[in-house]
Amino acid sequence: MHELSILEEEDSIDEELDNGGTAAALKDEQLVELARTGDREAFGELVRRHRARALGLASTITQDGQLAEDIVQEALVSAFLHIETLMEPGRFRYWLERIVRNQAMMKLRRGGPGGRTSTFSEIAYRWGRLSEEERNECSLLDRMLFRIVERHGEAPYYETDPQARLMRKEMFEGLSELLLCLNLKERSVFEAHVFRQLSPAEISDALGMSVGAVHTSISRSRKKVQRERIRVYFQGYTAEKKREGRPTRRVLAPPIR
Amino acid sequence: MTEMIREEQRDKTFTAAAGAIYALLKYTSRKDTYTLTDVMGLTGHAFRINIHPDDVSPAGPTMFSPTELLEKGLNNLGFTAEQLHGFPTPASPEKLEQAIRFAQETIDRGIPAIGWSLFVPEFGVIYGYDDEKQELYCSDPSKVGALAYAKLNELPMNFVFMLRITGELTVDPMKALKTSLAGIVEFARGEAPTLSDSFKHGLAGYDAWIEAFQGGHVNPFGNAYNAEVVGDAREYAVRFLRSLPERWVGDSREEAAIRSLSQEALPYFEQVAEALRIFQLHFPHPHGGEPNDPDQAAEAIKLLKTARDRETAGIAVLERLYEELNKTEQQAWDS
Repeated sequence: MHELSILEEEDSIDEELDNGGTAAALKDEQLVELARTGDREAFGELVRRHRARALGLASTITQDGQLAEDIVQEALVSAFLHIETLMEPGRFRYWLERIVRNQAMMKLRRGGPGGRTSTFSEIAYRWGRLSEEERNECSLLDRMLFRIVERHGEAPYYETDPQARLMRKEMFEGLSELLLCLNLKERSVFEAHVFRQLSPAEISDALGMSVGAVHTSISRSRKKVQRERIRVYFQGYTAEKKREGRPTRRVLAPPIR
Repeated sequence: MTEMIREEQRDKTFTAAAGAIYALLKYTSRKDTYTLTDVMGLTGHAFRINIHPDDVSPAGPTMFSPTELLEKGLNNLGFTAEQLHGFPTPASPEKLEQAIRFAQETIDRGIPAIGWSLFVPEFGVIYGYDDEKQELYCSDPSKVGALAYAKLNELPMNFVFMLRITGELTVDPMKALKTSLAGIVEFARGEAPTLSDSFKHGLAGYDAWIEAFQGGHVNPFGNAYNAEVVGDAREYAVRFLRSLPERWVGDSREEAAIRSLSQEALPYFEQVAEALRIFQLHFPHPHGGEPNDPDQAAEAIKLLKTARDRETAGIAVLERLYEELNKTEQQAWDS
């Protein structure tokens, strides 16, 4: 019921935009809601409003104009891909600035541009950083998975941007990989819950399991996916250490006990 | 016979914090400087007790900050240390990375890190890592083995804490002894910084223990565990006092005071250790016997009163020793 009313509200804003193209008159919060439905014009307006400030921030951190441009460009792509994870639409500016700051710091750590291309583990890294403030990481994961798969099916317009397409493809593959840690049954329960947003009672009906077993399966699967997410994260960590020529293994003599 | 077995096991202690410190020393230039007895004495762990008056909770021994349990002791042994800013779990991968880096950096320098609640809620040692396998190699009182990076998010106490040695200091053995005596006396008086006022430490710990037996709600495991920890600690207190005359053979007034007063305190702590040995036989770790049985409780109270009274007398002697050492210093300044 609540969701329906949001949809209606968005529809009415859409109409407003179609009629007058008054994106500039809307608040950030409203633009974010529109951008979440895939409205390019709304996202474009957000970019117009916040790009200069983001660029200033990136330049301050990197002291390098070209690098700052790259960082902001990547941050905007990342923001577009992750806009559904933004819990408070009114805080778009701060959120974008945080993405810029994180990317700038990461670039600096990697020794400037060309350090490496965006891979799933890097996105996961960024994503993890964004999620630090979130109260419930599980629900964030759920929402991410849901939105990404949903969009994948829709083949939305922004796939015309090759960089965005590549990043999204890698992310999707990465997330599918994450789910490989589950066994068949867990996977069907988890996917039904996460991708199709079915309640445990509905899943229990559909799969002929008890509601208790569904709950157990979801909770166990979440734990497994979380572990898997950490594992993927540290694959990136290890790869980075290797590139830097640092040791990846050291075991001292076992201590006396 | 009991004494012989305990002598053979002298490289072990039920005080896991001291065990972890001792384990770390073996990777430093001071690996042969200290025995476990020295560590137990100079860190003050040989003289600790912390009891909850309701149920003798097993949390007692570790209800102090890592600064109290680890860092001050390491300082007195001549090491500087730093603590990881601990965090509750589950945590983000970035937080876990901070902890793993923290351990890896000291392992790369050749010294393990101390970790909290790795396999069981005790201090343990992290002595290796393998990024490819995503494993830390750990040792704690329950086991030695691999701990997956992802498992840091699922530790028994849902909290990640680590500490590492950062450097060495020159120590004056006399100053170290005085520092430890000051800590021992402060602790015995119940004046050490604690994380919870509902637990009672020092001599008041015995009264809290007696109170719990009078209340009849003693946790059998907690009681047996505290008996193991405190009893084992007092065995080390005895050894520590016994070792002092061999260490301080000089003619100075201070050294003579150390020899005579440590031997004056010794029999009191032997009696404390003996009372706790009998206590342990009544309430064997880990199942703990029947502490809430009235006859058992009466016996326990008798033993705890003995331990408390002897320890009170022993601490008074150590306090005199501390004053004696300080007085001497003052006179040296005056002249």
